[in-house]
Amino acid sequence: MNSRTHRYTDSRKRIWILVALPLLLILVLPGIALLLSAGLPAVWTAVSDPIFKGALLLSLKTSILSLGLIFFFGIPMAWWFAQSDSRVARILEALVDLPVIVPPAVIGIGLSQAFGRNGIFGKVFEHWDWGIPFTFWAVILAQVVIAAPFFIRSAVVAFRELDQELIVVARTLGHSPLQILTRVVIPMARTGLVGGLTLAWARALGEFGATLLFAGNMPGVTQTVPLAIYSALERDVHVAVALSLLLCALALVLLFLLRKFFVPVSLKERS
Amino acid sequence: MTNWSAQFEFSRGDLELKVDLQGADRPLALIGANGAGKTTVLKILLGIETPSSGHFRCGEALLYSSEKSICVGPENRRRAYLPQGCGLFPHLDVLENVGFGLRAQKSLSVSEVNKLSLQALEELDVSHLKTRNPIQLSAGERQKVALARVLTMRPEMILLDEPVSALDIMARREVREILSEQLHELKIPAVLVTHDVRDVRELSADVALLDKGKISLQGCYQEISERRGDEKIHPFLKEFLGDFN
Repeated sequence: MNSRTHRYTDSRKRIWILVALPLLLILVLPGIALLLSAGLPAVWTAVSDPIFKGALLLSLKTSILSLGLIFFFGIPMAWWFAQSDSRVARILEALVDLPVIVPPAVIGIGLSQAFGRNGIFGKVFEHWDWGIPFTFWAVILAQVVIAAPFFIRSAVVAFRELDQELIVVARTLGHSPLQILTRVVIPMARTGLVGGLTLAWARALGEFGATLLFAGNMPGVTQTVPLAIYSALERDVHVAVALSLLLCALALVLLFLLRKFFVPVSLKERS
Repeated sequence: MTNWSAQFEFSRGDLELKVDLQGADRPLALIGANGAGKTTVLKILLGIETPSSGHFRCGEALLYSSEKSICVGPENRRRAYLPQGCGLFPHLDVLENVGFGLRAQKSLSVSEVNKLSLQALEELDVSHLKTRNPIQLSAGERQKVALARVLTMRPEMILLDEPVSALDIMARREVREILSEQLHELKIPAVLVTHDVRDVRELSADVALLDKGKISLQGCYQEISERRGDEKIHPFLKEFLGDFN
């Protein structure tokens, strides 16, 4: 490649960067602003705030449990969507994506209508003296509904990309459908699944609207970190900023750990 | 000697099959144009696809019968399958790949599985590859590893889909020799889909031509090759036989 071609390519690259710059700034600026506006003393105040510890523990507990439920029930669902040619599967697959496009507040109201005291299923639970709204389980339910589509979408794509001949081979080698799922399908789709889990986990951790409407904002019971930030904003904006920063840091650490330990070294690199 | 027969009807989209095949211990080469449904025939014999009617009998075992509502699943048929791309699992090393079928047998311990897998690799002179990942192997090595996995299963029938098409000339010759040797030793029926007459000759296989959804001709290679000069010979068969004697 001669120097003239080099210059032409470089200038073309610069144009793309220039066009992308405004969006890039909008995406990065909130994080930078948080870093700049929250000093160490404010972070320390936020950490020592009694609300923080409870909210953080609840966020971790609920998001991890939600993630487990999403994985356990999401894998068979995604596998069915990926394998089935039926119209029913296609319609349900589209419906599962609904929480992604519907505002979380609407999901919160929907959950109340379904599981609230006078809701369709709420009456059944009421009969057993088990009210879901404004409890720990309401937080879980809100997180699962909001976050599951992110995992299911990634899993369906990962499953569809698998070499179907390998599934056939596994069947002829005497493995049951469940063994094939655990020994072939999940390990081979691992990268896509971890990607989906990361997205779902991030979405569950940051869930706000549906949780507020369906589970409330009770410290120690249903107050997750995003709700604690909302409450702190009314008292002390510095604490709210520091809590936001901590939530970002937590998300980054867990994202890094997930990527480091669960995404396999690419097969190309191994060769 | 194990006699087998398969007679079935199958339809999906544009593909309509009305197949009648018989065989014994001698391998059967299924030939035909692309899209004729050869691989689908293999998948029906494996139990992956279910025909609308017919039967598939191998020796005393009735594996499929629409009349008697019998359909043995692929996991219980003991039909080994060697697909075009070898079908090795990229997330497992060679030893784990070979032992994959044995792992489905609950009676075997991990050490027994490893021992049997290693034996199969040794039999094909590829035990030095046991810790490698399949993508690190040459096409010929992959084929041998896939064959080793088939051997560990002690199948009652082997189905091969263009087993040497992805190999270079030297590897083709080597794999054909190994296949011929193993099939001769195992004395079990085999069906292979191929576009290469050398596969038929080397494996001393019978030939069945699948055309327009039907088996338009079935016989031993010798008989069929003698018809090369026949004016009424099927054009695909004429091309397939080519200049070989």
